[in-house]
Amino acid sequence: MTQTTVGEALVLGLKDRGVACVFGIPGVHTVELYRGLAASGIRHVTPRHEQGAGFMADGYARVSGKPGVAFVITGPGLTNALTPMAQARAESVPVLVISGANTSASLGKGLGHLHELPDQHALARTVAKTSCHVAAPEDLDSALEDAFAALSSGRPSPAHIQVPLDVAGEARAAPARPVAAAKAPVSNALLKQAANMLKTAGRVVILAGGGTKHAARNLRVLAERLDAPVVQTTNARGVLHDHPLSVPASPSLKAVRSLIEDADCVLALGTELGQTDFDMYATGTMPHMPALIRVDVCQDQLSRHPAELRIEGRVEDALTTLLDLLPTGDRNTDGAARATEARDGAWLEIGADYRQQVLMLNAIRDAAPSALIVGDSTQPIYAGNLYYDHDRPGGWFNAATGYGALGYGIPAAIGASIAAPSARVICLVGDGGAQFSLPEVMAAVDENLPVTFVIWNNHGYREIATAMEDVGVTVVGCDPTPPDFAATALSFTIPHRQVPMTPYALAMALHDTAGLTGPQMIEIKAPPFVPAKD
Amino acid sequence: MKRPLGAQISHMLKDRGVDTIFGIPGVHNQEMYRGIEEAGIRHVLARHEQGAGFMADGYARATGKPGVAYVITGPGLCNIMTPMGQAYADSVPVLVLSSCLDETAARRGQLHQMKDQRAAAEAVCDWSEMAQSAEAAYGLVDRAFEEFAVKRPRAKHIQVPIQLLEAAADPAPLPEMTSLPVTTTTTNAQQVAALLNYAKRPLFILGGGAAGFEWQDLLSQLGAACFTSYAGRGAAGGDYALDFGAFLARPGSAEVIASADLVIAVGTELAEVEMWRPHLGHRAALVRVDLDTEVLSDPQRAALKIQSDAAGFATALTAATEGKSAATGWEAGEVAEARGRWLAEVDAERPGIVPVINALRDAVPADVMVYSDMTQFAYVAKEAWAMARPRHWHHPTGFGTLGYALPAAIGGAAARAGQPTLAIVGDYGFHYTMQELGVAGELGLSLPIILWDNGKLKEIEDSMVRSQIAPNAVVAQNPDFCKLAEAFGARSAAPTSLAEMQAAVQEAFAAPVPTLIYVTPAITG
Repeated sequence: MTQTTVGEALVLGLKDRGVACVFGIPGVHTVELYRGLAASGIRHVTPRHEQGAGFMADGYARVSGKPGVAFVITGPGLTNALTPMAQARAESVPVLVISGANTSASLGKGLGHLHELPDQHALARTVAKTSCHVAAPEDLDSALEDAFAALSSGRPSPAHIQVPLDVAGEARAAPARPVAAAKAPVSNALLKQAANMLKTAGRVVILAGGGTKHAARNLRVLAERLDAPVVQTTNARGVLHDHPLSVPASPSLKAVRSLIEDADCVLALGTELGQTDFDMYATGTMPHMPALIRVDVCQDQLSRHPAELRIEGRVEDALTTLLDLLPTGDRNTDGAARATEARDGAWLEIGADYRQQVLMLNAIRDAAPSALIVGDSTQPIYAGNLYYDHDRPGGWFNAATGYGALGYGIPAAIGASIAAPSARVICLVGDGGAQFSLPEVMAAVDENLPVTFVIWNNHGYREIATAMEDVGVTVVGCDPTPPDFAATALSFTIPHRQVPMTPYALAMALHDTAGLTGPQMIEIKAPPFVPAKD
Repeated sequence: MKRPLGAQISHMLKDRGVDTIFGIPGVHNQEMYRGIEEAGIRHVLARHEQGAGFMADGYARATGKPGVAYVITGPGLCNIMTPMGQAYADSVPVLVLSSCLDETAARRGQLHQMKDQRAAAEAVCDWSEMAQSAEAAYGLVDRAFEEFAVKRPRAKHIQVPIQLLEAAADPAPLPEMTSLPVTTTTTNAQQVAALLNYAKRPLFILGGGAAGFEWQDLLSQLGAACFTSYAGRGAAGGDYALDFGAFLARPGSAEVIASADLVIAVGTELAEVEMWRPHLGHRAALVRVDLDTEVLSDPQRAALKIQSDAAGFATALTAATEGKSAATGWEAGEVAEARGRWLAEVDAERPGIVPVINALRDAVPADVMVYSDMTQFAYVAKEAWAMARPRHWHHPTGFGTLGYALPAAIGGAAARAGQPTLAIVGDYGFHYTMQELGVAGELGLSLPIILWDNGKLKEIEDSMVRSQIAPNAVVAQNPDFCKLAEAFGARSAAPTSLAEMQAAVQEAFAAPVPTLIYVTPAITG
């Protein structure tokens, strides 16, 4: 039997499970992971901070549908990756973080070892769904099984494996072959009940969440068959582009809530009914959802809200069966008219500033069809999360939802580009958020990725300043001087151009740069934020 | 007068001597921001919460006062955890105040929600508590300040629910005097004096906790030699003849320590990162003096353990040994010979760096405060750059995180207006927190930043080679660092000789903005 080190076996185990790329920063504590990496054929991308590694793995996972993997060192490597792990937890993204740990004999003793924490394992458990400690070489197989079960069964979630410094170099056999997980079928009886409810209902509304992004085709058939408007959460945008039944607008908006409340049966597919989609104005209330039927992969999620019918399973599996149970043929429940009314109402409701920003988003979409738009927490992203109709399922995602971490956009766009090398990736980030992870642009240079970094430069944290003004707080700390982005791009050796905040100028810039193969930067001069003086 | 609790907390901190808060505002913590200007506190706006945390650390190490950071729920707190872990490991008084969600058990999927925010923070600091009322918030802040004064200082976290931050509250009680730390009894001091009576070669090991006292007179009177830890450098002054320096990590130091007939370790955890061996190597009796019982009970064999602050111990020992004649077992020559030998070892291990360090040391003022990052340049300097003043060199020793030096130097320079501060970073570590350059520019700091560029993770490459792994993933493309610095409003210089480097450093101390000084191994030509 071939002997390997534990570190090499771990890499082989990843390879066996289809891992094609890892994002990592090596350190003395993780050199054993790198022993087998070059020979394994797994691609390695080196970010500039472990936070970048975590967010790249997230962007990669969202686009590829496979787990995104990060290699980090003991201690600060892991604490640096915690924010991305928490973001992945909130957003149901399968991110696997593999870290070192101090030598087994030193753990928990507080001896002042390099990179020491009182209890690193416990820390990882506060953000990951599972954290596996490889105490001995033979523990590796179960650690891999547990981690991949957490990543791929039920609601996808981050997982963590840690290998102590002394264990990583120990000898062991090659890893056990992965065990194929049996997939629980969706209950036919429950689906029949759902079909009966939907058949007899007169005004169905579908709430599509991120869980629908791999079922766009069947979702469209279902919507047409039920004549049901489809309200899309942020992570569902793109599943029903430019369709009369599409409502690509936030269910936090009054017009969209009215649509939902006016239904006599609501079918919620792959959505946790979370606050950032359903109550982003923090009113403490959810829209009333008559005769709610939920389909979700996670039992815990299903139990959290009252529902008439709860069906556990993947949306794509449920829809295949459900379509067989529903009659074909014309059905008219004013679906298109209801959808139009909700769209028109929502469009008015978001206000002139946000409408102007959505027009910019439309210009991006039309100038760069089928692009992946990866966003940070910035004003046009907030605007788009309220109302924007993307043209590619899974092609609109950002961290303004869920955990809401700044600095997500740049590294996540890099991960997305690695997962979809032929797609144009557009990263939309504010000047404040860009400063959280700007150095990662160099990783896009290393890998020569076709990512367009669009910087929305309004000289500050506009969203926060507005919130302070609204409650009568003197605006403090919202005006970080941005760097000179042209000079920054020059120092990164990437092209830069600045455009005024008009849809036409942005479209032309995207059009002109469509042929470029590597990263580039487009800076939008937004009206600078000026703190109001009392 | 009644104010929202968030504002009252800022006023309370002002009353307790806080003049600067490092942070990033968000919708969740805006009520804390309401009080900052009103209370007359300066706010330093970081570009990432990690920067805010390291700035608070650098401020605390420079002043000895607690460094305070304000962050938001969830990602704000997660982003500052690496600095909290660093301040925990290096015993730095950092207080992080964050908002938290009002209800987390029954409601999921809220903005910034995590599984258990309080527990997550507790895993990287001394303690993490949630205030459920104004009184509890005030009590926790006072508890933190009390413990910073009397216990081994370490990072702490207090979180306050958003609705509570918004609710009107009475002001905090006026500050009370904090108590004094546990100190050395006359009996203990006499016990140590008795041991010293029999010792011909007494040896002190002075750690970061000992650096608040000037030890030179006492050591000289006792005829004692000393080592310092990295954080303890300068504790014996710059020219004490029996100071073996910060060479505990040299294997040869174990032989010197074994030759001592009494070892007194003060304010040091004798950590792995100081010695790179499990035991100190002493054969004689060890006296251990520390504030922290966890340190006193570690596996180093100690004959006498004294829970005490270092200055109190030194004062009591001075009194107990008055008139005692100095021990005569140490020769200044053997100390000088050992130091010379170890310095040569350091130079041979990582060649080419010592001459740059010497040139740099000659170019900076005597009262310079240095912040270094995890870079080979600093690993050499920790041993090779002898310090004349205590607490003037700060390094992320224990937790060992990249990206520390620039923001920590900003925090330190902001606290020491008009006094010189220097940052030393490697090219990889600079990537971690380079954004904070913008903050240094905004504050108009005359900060030279030595960027030592060896073009890769050289230390990791060396480790891979030692482990017989073909080096991979250790080379990343660097930006044009000088242009990048200018993009952030800083000056830059790329000296090609040591003399040019010295001139650039001196100019930087007089410049109105920070200066990035780009240095590669080629500078020694």
